[in-house]
Amino acid sequence: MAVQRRAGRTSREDIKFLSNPNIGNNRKKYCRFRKYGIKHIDYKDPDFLLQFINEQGKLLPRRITGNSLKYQRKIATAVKRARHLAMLPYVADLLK
Amino acid sequence: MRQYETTFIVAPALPDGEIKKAVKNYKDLLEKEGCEIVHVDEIGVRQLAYPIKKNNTGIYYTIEYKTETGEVIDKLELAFRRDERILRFLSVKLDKYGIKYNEDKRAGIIDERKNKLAAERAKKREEEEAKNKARKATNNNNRRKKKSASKPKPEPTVEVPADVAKTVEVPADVAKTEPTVEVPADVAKTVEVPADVAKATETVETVDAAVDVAEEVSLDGDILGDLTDSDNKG
Repeated sequence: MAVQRRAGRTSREDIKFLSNPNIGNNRKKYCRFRKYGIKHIDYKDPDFLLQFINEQGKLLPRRITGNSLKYQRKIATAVKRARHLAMLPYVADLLK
Repeated sequence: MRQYETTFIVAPALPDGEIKKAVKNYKDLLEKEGCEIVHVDEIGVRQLAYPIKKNNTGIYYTIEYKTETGEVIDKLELAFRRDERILRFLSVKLDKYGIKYNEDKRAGIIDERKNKLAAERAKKREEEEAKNKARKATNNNNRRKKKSASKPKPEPTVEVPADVAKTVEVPADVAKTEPTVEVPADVAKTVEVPADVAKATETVETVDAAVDVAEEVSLDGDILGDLTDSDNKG
């Protein structure tokens, strides 16, 4: 009986370490344009715009990037311009 | 005066001279219309994200110019449309931030800032990795400590019953007397006498038959098995 109870205790400890310890503390998102004072988004810089699209080449939503609405709109137009100039793809797979 | 910026892609299959001629042609067109050309940027050959007119690469040019009215743009774009060498074009009006950005870019400030940011990001990533490693190491250590701490534990738990066994061993004398006491009532009396036994096996008091006593005791645990054995022997 005693041995069985001990085994149960150790397994619970193991489960505690198996789960991600960083799972509780999610960092606060922020708008990088407001934080760093970036006023202009260049559509000729696809490497920068790559941060705001997913691997299918779709625009990431604000809830993921944390951009403010003003700069999310600017990002959207910049990405669309870059697509027109074939700097970013309209459709892609495994972009990153 | 408004400032505009036109980016266009020239087909790469042309000889170098012709490409330069085409670019100069558009530059002249703008100047003829009374535009002030701010800058002509040759970005160079780039891989296209998707093929345009069966071309996989293109030569990118950007012309920045100032003009009073936007009428020039219509003329310029018409010329672009008529030109087969031009794969794509895009005209954009620059706001004050755009003008500043382009000036900074020409001065190399943007690249500097970018490099700095990239360096900072790399540093942060390294720090985080170091932190994670440290955390993992401490976690492992903790786990090791816990394991080492938990190992000696089973011994005391085993030892405890040994003590009980000692107290239980006392009734061995009682067990010797048991055979004579097959009559239930007497058993109860005889069993009640040793105080230690009573504590260890409280159920004994209520049980009538001696056999039942043995069964009850065996149910209490393996530790008490010794007692039941001794009972049976007796």
